[in-house]
Amino acid sequence: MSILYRIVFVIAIVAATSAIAETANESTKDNTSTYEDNNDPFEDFNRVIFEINQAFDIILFRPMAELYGTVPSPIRKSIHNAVSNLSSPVILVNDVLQGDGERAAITLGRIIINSTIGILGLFDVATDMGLEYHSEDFGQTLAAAGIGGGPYIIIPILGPSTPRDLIGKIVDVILQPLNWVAWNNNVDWAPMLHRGVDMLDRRTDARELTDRTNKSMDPYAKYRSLYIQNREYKIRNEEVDTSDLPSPDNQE
Amino acid sequence: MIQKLFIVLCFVLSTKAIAADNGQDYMAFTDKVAKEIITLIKQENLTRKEKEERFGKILDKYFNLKAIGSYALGRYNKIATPNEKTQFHDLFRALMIKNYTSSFTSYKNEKVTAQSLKKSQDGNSYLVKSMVEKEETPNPIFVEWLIYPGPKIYDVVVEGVSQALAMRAEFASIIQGGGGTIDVLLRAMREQIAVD
Repeated sequence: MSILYRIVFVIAIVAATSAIAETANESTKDNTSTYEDNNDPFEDFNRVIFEINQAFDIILFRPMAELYGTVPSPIRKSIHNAVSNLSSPVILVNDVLQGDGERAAITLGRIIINSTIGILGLFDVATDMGLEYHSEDFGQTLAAAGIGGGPYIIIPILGPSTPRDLIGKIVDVILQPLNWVAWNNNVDWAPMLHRGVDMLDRRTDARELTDRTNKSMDPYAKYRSLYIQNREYKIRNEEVDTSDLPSPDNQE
Repeated sequence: MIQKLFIVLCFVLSTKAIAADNGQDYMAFTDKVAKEIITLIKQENLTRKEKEERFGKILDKYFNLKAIGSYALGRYNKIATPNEKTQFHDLFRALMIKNYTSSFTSYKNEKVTAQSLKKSQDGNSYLVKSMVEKEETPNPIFVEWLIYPGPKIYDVVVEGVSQALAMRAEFASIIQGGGGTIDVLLRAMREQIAVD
């Protein structure tokens, strides 16, 4: 198994570096406002995958989320905290890669406090102490380095992404030190379980949002906008860009 | 004498206006709007139609629907006839009411608290950040309200997602997918409003 992993990683790294080199050449301008421009040249194909994913969601993921949603809130909160704490080393590595000392310190502080006082991450004591959670991933690190997202793509099962963010996801697997610990100790299932619970937790939290979005006039276009906007927001470290939002000028 | 009084009055009014527009009151303002909406959601003795009517009044009172609608129509403002624009704005209001009141049932026991205030990049507007807590979901979400002097709300940004921009993207997709006419959008909006 571990040989297979290593082969996958080597391929992933090669693919990542070559694709980064490629995208770096053409698109460095769109890390601020890809917003209006959907950048969706594969829309017809994407829509097909989107429909398949929606079907999977209806028969599998939505019911699982519904079931998980019946777990009492405090327990879910603790599971969420523990999963999030285990993901934090990836955030830390990316904080460091982006040269953001302050955010790296916050993440490191969170890991130390929550893993100890927070009892193996079950309680998010750090937030109460003012060290609030933030996300970071290698896709965001690439964006911070000026690399554009590239075309919007929908990945089977996983959903919306861009080539940059897909590469980011793969690299994040390698950047996660706990994965290496798991692989070296032959507990390959642990990272998968971690990832699975994380996805279930997110899907459960998103029930309202997805229900509402599914009812909209053009769910595909709506999800695309949600994904692109939320990604840009995270890349800007949770800053809302008001330069292209409604204003009194829009009144005619 | 009357002239002097008038000048004094003008002065008082203008300082008041300035005081209201330094943004400090906007946090209380969004809390008030959120509270009114939550109170409406919780009222069980109202029919759906009554709830829709009251929500419409809240929208008219605190939001600049005209500006949000024009923004959402985006570049198609240029090709829309005056008649189409009128129709669009009427439908837009109805659609907002429909979309949000139909998900009222899933919003229960919410608590919205303004947490911070920030002047936006252009310097004319403010962003109030609120935390939305729910009993059923353990993780709070963050909502930012875009407010211009008035005060009026121009957008609601949920976890970085501008609701107005998401609508603009959706409208554009419908128009493009349907052959580029405003009429396609108007028809889709009418259908959506009619869905039970």
